[in-house]
Amino acid sequence: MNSFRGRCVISGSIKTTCVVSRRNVNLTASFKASVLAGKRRVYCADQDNPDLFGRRLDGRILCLPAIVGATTAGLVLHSLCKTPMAPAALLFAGPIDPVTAAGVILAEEWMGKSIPTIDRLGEEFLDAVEHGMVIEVTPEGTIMCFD
Amino acid sequence: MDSRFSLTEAEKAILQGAGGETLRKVYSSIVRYGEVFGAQKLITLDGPVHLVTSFGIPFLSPTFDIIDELLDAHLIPAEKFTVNPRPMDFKNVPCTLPEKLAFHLLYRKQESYEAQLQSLGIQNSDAYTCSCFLQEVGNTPQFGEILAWSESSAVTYANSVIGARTNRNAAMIELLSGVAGKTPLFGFLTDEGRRADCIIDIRCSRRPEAQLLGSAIGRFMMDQVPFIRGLDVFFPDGLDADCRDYLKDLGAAAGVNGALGLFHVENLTPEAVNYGSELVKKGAPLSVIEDDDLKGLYHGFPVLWSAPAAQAHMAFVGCPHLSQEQLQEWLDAILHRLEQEQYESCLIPVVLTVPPAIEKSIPSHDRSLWALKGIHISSICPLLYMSNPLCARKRIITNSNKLRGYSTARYYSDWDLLNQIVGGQSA
Repeated sequence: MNSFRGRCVISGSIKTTCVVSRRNVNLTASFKASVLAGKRRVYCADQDNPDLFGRRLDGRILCLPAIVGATTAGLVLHSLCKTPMAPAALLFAGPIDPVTAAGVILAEEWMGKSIPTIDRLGEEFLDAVEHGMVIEVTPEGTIMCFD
Repeated sequence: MDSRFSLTEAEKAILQGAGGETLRKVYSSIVRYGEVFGAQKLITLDGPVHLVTSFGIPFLSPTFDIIDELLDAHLIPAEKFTVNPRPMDFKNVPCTLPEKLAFHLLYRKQESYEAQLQSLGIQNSDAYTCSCFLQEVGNTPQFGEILAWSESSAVTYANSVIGARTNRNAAMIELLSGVAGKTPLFGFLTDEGRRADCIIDIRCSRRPEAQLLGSAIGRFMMDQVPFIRGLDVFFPDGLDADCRDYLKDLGAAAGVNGALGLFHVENLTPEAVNYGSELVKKGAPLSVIEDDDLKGLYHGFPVLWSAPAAQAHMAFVGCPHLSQEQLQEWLDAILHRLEQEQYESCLIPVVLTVPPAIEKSIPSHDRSLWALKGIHISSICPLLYMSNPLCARKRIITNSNKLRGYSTARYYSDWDLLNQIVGGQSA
């Protein structure tokens, strides 16, 4: 088991399977098609991201370097929190971006819904995780990866 | 989270609930947002906000709930604001009955959302455009002004081409900042945050397509600030209308593949002119973009059509919205080619998208004439058009890397797009 420690942007605990993107993720492009089609499951629709394209994202811990793309991404995250389509947690190797930070803060502040969000976990974190691996997130920002 | 956030007595009181629960949440949201990025205080806004959210889909009910709560508490921005383009235009964008029904279903909260925006203080019914900074629209900031905008293309333009200061805010953070009249001081609002992290040398034999170069820069840069050299040679007249439009499109494209919110162009953009290479951080790495890089990028874009060789159904030009000059250039190019080839109309309909204020300035007689040739002028958001699942199945072509990146639309360079729209290969 590997463990990592990052900075807690949104505190929370969760233990479930993860999906991993080695490249930056465009959240709007990833979630949009499923959201607009009103589906309960989200399959990544971002054509520019072969790491995630077609993979299921809802209820999964999303491990990634950073989030890029439109400023509506925060809105997508915020709204996802009212549905079963939200990712279980967001784990960033690098620092979180303003758009994503806003999304998870708005969800917690205005809806009382928390998506555990940890950033600055380091490149070695992304090296250690694989699709389907079970990850546990603690409220203090410790990440435990189980093979 | 550790915080060195310094609050005034009035701000502290608001955070303790002195202004009511809703105002507390407004301030708490923007303070927490600032804390994540090391902001130490809130700073007063100098101009109106620009909102990215222009579409009423039921999925956004948490957003509509926040707005209702703000309106119930009589909390609105102090200055009239602008908003991104609307998602529907049945009058000017060719549309089948099933597509119309799908639009009405998808955007069934549009009317109630626009009513909310009206109550919040949108500038007027023409204030729906992503190119809000154009003089015809009127949300045009001045150099150095502090703003809280979202919509990545507008943010990048305001920061880079005008020299105003806004972070690449998320949707709702701009509105909450507008309500507070303040925004957290960090990132692009600070001198240090505006310095260039790297240098990009453009070594191209001719002026690259703005949206293609933007895509290449976005992939290189992520959220860093580039200092772009070698582009000024293509703009001998400096930062004129042509150059501003080019940089508008470059910035929009860069925001799709990266998280770019500010770039400097040597000898062109205001801060690059004022400070030159002093803007560049010590030890900033150098990257080079050449013709072959752009050619490889162009031919490497994925095509998501089931029949890639089939003819397109329709073309969109104007994501982000075209300026008056860009609209005229495209009209001239299409009409000239039609005349040259002696064609009555385009092979496929083309929709040129502009801000409502520009759209309304065009005489209806001209528009009717152009419509007969397959040329339509609209203020719709092409991206939101493509969000309709029925439209997403159509073979839409565009010269916008932004539209390509967020939809099934296929990218063509300007020249190739013109060939697709009109046919013929005339020079």
